Amino acid sequence: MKWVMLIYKLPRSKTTAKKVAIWRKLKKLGVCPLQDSVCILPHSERTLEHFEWLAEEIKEKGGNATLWETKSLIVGQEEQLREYFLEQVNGQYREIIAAAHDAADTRQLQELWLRFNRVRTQDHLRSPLWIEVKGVLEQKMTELSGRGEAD
Amino acid sequence: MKWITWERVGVDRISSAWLIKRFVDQDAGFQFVKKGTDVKNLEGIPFDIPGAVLSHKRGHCTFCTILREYSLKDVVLDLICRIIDAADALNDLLPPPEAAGLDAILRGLGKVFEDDHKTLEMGFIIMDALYKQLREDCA
Repeated sequence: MKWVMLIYKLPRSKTTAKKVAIWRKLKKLGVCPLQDSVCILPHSERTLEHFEWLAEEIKEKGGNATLWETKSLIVGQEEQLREYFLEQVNGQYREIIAAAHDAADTRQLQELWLRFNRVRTQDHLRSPLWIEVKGVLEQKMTELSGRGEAD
Repeated sequence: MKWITWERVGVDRISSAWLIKRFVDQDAGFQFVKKGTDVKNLEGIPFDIPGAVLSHKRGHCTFCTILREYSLKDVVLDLICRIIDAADALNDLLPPPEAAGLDAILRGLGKVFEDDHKTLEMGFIIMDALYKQLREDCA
């Protein structure tokens, strides 16, 4: 399995705005921070593209960044990393399922639906749990919208 | 004028090419090079290539950069800019609802044609449609 690894140094600046912009994007991508300033994602057309532009953005802001395509060489390491990525989204998926069961109206469910779709953009390894979340949300929506049977 | 970008165009490159063709250079021709090719010695204007003037700037997509570089003033283009930015540059604190759909369609388009010129041709129609409808919705 291939991975993309970004090694970066944030710009030294008095204001935190530049750094926050970068952190927000890293968080949004759902990266795994291996060390301070080293983070990794499963390789795909999309993750690579996002990292390429992020590396450019860091450099443009006065920082420093290099980007690598890489593979794991120690037994078990890759499995741990896969688990990290799966657990990161599964944790959120489980929260959504729990919240869906407690949801009192369709509006709350719609908010959960938006959150679900945001988590899916970070689900780089396509956790099988997403189908369950989708099913729970749809089922609950059918109940709350008073239609009885799904149409 | 010839405009150069990486092959296998996606949402930002299709929409940027469309913006160039419709609003910057009606005679624009497009050349696609392999990813990573050094374009410094090629004749033409590179876009959406890391390091080029017309690429992501200040954390925003190439479409946004072209809009600003050529001082294009059009509320509908501003709307499209936010759509592309949300789809392409992870800027989606307030993502327009069209973003995810357009991203999926334009990403998939290149996988249908496997020829970037054909992808652009069809992509331009989709962008024309988006522009026309948003223009009507703005009126």
